[in-house]
Amino acid sequence: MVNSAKMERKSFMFFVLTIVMASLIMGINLKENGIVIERGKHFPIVREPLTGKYNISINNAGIEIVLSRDLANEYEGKFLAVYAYKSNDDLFVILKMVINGKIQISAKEEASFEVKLRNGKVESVTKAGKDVSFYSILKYAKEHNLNYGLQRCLLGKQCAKICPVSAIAEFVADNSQQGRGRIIPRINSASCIKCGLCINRCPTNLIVEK
Amino acid sequence: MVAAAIMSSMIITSFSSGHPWAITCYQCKACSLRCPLGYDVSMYVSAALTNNPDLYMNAKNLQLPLKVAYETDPNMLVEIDGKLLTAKEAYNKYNSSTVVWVRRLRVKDAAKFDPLDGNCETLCPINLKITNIIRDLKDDGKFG
Repeated sequence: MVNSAKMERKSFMFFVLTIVMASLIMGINLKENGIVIERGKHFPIVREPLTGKYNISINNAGIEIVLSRDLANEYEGKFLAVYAYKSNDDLFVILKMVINGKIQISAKEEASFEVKLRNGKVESVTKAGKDVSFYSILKYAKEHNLNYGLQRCLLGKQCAKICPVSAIAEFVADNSQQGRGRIIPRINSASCIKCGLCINRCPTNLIVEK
Repeated sequence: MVAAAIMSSMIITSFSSGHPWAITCYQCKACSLRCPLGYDVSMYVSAALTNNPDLYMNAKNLQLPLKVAYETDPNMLVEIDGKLLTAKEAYNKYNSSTVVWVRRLRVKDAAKFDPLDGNCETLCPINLKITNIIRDLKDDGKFG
């Protein structure tokens, strides 16, 4: 009886010791991965739209987007987002890898996300419903003169998450003639401390240093 | 005693991977729902927990040229013309420039092709930094 109580106490102590060690190591790990914030050195700007740097063609088999040589060189083997509006406040996005300077979307492929807008600002990004063919949405957008195209923003909001002063609080539709409704982060230059973390974190180099 | 030993070994492997917080994941798989590539994202966390980036995970929406798939991992499971076969088998049958759908790949290879968009993190109920694991594996396929 006494022996079993001792054993239980021993294993409990072992468990507590392991947790303490875990906390210590986690602390060291966090310290090693700690991010150094350099204020006032890196001024972030959103890059120009991709309009004019690609050509979209639609046929019965699907969608083919041929990228210009510069764009293909920059994004070969990387991801870009193709978007198409279903209405003025509702767009669908699919993330695709650039392979051999092209993006190909078959007629059956489902959209990755549905983005709802309110007053030009992104209100929600949700997983697109099943059986939502991106091909049919892009075709609809083309037939109804709604915006569609290629954009850099992958909608993961990594820049907003890493910003230490929440200077990227919203994502908006760029409704300029060149922007053609692409989604971009809005950087509040008044509160931005120019630390450059968003520049480092953006996976597609949408945000770059001025 | 056995439970303590199992817990301890899991803690030790998660420490050695450099992501000890992985032990807090309770496999709700909410992250997988949002992944645009259809990855089984929770496998990233399992790999960190076991310090084993060679675990295999499922994928739904990743396309690669057959040559890249074969050179990455000949045992990668790919789909061509509705048929499932390994990259090695496909490489011997089809043109190497054929674009194939990847259906099963190693965690370290999944990280290599991951767009790092971070959509998986947005649904995690305990805010696990899954992209930290992916960044860790992206360059050399190893933890730490």
